[in-house]
Amino acid sequence: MDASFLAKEYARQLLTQMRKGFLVYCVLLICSKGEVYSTDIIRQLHRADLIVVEGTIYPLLSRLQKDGVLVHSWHESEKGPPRKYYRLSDEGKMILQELKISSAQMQSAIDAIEKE
Amino acid sequence: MDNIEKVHIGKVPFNIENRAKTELKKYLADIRSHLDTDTADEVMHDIEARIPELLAAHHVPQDGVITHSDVVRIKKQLGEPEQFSTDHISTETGSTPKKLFRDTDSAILGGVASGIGKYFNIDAAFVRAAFFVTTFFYGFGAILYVFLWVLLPEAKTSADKLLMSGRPVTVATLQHYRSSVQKSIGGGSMFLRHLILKVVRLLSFAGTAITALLLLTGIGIFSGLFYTYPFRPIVDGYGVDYLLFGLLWLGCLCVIGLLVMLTIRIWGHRSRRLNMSALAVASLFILTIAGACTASLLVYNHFSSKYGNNKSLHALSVVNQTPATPPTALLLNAGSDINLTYVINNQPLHAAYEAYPGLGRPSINIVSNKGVLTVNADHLEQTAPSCLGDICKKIYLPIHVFLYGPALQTLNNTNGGMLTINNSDLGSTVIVHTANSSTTNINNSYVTNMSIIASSGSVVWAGSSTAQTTHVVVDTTSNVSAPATTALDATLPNTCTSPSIFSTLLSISNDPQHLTINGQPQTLEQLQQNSCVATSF
Repeated sequence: MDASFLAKEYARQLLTQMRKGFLVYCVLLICSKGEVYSTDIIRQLHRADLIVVEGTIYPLLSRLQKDGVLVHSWHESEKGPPRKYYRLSDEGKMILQELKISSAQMQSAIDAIEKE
Repeated sequence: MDNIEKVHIGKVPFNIENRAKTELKKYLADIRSHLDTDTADEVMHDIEARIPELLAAHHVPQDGVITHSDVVRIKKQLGEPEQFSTDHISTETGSTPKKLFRDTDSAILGGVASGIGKYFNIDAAFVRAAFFVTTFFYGFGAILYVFLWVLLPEAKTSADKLLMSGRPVTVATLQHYRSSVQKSIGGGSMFLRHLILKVVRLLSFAGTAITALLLLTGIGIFSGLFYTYPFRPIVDGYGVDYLLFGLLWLGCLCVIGLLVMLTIRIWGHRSRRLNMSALAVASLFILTIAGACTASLLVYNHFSSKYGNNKSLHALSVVNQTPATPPTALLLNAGSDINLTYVINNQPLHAAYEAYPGLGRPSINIVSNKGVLTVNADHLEQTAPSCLGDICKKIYLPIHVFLYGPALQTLNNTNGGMLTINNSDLGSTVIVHTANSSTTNINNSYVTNMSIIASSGSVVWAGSSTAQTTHVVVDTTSNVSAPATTALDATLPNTCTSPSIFSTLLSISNDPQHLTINGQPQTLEQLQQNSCVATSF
């Protein structure tokens, strides 16, 4: 087996793990700014160069809502049926705060290690 | 060109080509198969609501025709069915492992029983009952409880409390838990807890001092110190009751010791380091208590059954070398372990001793030869069956010997033993000769002429008996209490400046008609001035 292939495969597995939490964090950040529709979320992620397909988002939003992190409300739409708009719940806001602190710590840890 | 059907997607009506319909249906079914079952319906609903928007953005309005290329575009936009799987993004689902905590919210003492109950899904009352019952087996339940109290962590955060019950930790469950728990923390268990804590603190100081006492007592029992003089009388059958009481008291103190450990636990709950040292101290304490109590109980068990009041009379052989000549003198040549009671009856000579169950036959020699009845028993040493190693091997236990024979005229007790005669008519003359710390008791008896010669620290108690005439010789180290008599002639040392441990050498209980000391008749005043004599009349 090619050595670089193995390396890439290993990195891919690690990244899959990292991406999971990272994605959730980004979604929470987006939802903290107000009520957003699923396409808004995806558009913002695209703008941040995070390519995801909608298929990834819908189960995630559903899960987060079931866990009580997000809440949704129905908005009427002229183009079709009513739409679900998501925003952070109170608990979700607290969780996001925790994540912000932790990620800042992680970032400074990485910086410190890189400087060594 | 193709056939079309009318369908609705998310309640929006469309026309769709056959091929596209099959493809779209399969796509949606594939997506559903990759979803978590508990959110599948919701997600499918969202997706179906989304599709009309995607179509509208690509010029397929309501009632428009969906073709194969539209489906391809939808698939591209939404993603492959595998990408809907939450293996890509997962949060905690499924059963969470349970962790064993102490449940301090529904605790009576430390929440150990509640925590265990939650972990195994049984009522805490059963756990408490188990602890209580096993405490009666050498305190196992109580000791285990305190150990767990020290070792198990407290369920402090809401997340801990959920883990304790095995529920997954999500925002929803946390919210639900918080609101339900607020109601359940009642005042009842808290009050009881505070009360118990107060009692524990009160006892903790006493408990620490008692630890030292327990250690010393345990050492005393274990080392056999209690079998030597002056503790030996305690082991002499009748005194074992006191030993039992003492050991029961020790057992009660074990409870106090446990409470001390609880106090250490309560004080030490802040820092982890203090916890460890508290645990070490507590462990040492338990070991000491358990060791002392068990040893004490073992020893008591052994002795109460063997040397308690279960003594029985066993015969001793009397060698009568001159049967034609009945004895008129008794010579007790035995050490301080011998307690001889001479019983005057008209039976042939025979003897018996009180045997301790389990001990061997003592070496006591009784010989009647040419009128002298000699009882020989050297320093009486019995070998006990081994208990606690070599501690019990050699025990010096007092032996009570009964000797039955005719009335005697001479009693010689010269080797430290104890000779007792009770309730007897001693005849016309009795000479009592005691020496070398011997003790002779003449109780409730009568003799016409009694002679008492006491020397070298010996004692003669004749105060309860009666004699017509009494003759007493006492030295500075001995003590005689004279019988009630009509004529007493005493030979005393001239000075009693340094009396022995008994304050006087001669005690007189009645007023004899004739009293001479050292050949001199005495008046009452002279008698009272004589420091060698005590009068009680």
